[in-house]
Amino acid sequence: MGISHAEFGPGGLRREYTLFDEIAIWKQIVFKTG
Amino acid sequence: MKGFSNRWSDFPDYILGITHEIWEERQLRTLDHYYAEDIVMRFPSGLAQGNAGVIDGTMATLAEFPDRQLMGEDVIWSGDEETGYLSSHRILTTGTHLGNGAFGEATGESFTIRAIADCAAKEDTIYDEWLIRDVAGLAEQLGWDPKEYAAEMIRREGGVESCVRPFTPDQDVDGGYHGRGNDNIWGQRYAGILNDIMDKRMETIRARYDRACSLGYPRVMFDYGWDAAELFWMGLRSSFPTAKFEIHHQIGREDEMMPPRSALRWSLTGTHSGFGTFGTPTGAEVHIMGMSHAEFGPFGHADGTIRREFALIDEVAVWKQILMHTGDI
Repeated sequence: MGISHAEFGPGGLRREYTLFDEIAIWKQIVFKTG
Repeated sequence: MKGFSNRWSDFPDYILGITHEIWEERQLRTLDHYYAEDIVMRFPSGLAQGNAGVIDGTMATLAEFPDRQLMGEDVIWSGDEETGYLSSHRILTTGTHLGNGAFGEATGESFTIRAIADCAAKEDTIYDEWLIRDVAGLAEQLGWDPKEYAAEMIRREGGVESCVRPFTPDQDVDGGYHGRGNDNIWGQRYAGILNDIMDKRMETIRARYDRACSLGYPRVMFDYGWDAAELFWMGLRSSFPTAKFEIHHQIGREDEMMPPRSALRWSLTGTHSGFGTFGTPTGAEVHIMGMSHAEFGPFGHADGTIRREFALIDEVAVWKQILMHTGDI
């Protein structure tokens, strides 16, 4: 699951803030690998 | 734009374009055209005159940091064809210390700092300039203590009596630009906020800065919130509590696709008489050149609050003035 905020300026995307839960991703990986 | 090459779509395009040509395309000799022969440049570390020195200085910097990049974060400008344009250009600059130079033998260390250049331009040529780099941040990232680096500069330049004098108003030369900016409301508001802070009305930061503001200061590239703003402004004022604060140039702008914003050039002149950022008071007389940019947003106050602020002084030039007074090098 990801959520992003972006601010645009005259030269393109000027600021970006993106979040996803890396722990939740590792958890899914470790579930599979054990 | 009358008198400017038709290659440039507007004034910010000119400023960003010539910076790229000079620095990143290595076209040093375009400075013969883009910089006036007798240009006056005020660095906190001293006064320089003439474009020949600018070419040599640019080359020395590129020799020391061959992969130097200059990313234009903003160009906040005022003026017109008649009075001349003034650009306050905030630059995020990176590089690796791969060559020998002003910071000693190559260390291989990399740096990221900001600089703000206020340049007056007319007819495709820069003729008057004020430039502050975060020299303390650069020195620190290359392994120096900023105060020790100031002492090293004094020693290297032959001691307290013969070293290069940091810039003070008595050295100033009229470069031809006499503008004071514009009367836009956002410049007035930012000037009002800084005047209140320098007037020791410290509640101003909690009232007029967004609680989640993003900040950039000397040695501090990215910080946030009221405490960080207080640390910078109170730390500075506390070291020089009786010094005279003056705003010399004030711009406010509302541009398409940008938040309301302001650029100020200011100075603090007086005695190192208090405990603060610059340690134990020494009684040294100092002149501090300052520049700052602010972006405003709607949260927390009817007149808007500062959502992002980038303020610069050259702390090494301040330490140098203090050490020239104490002789403790």
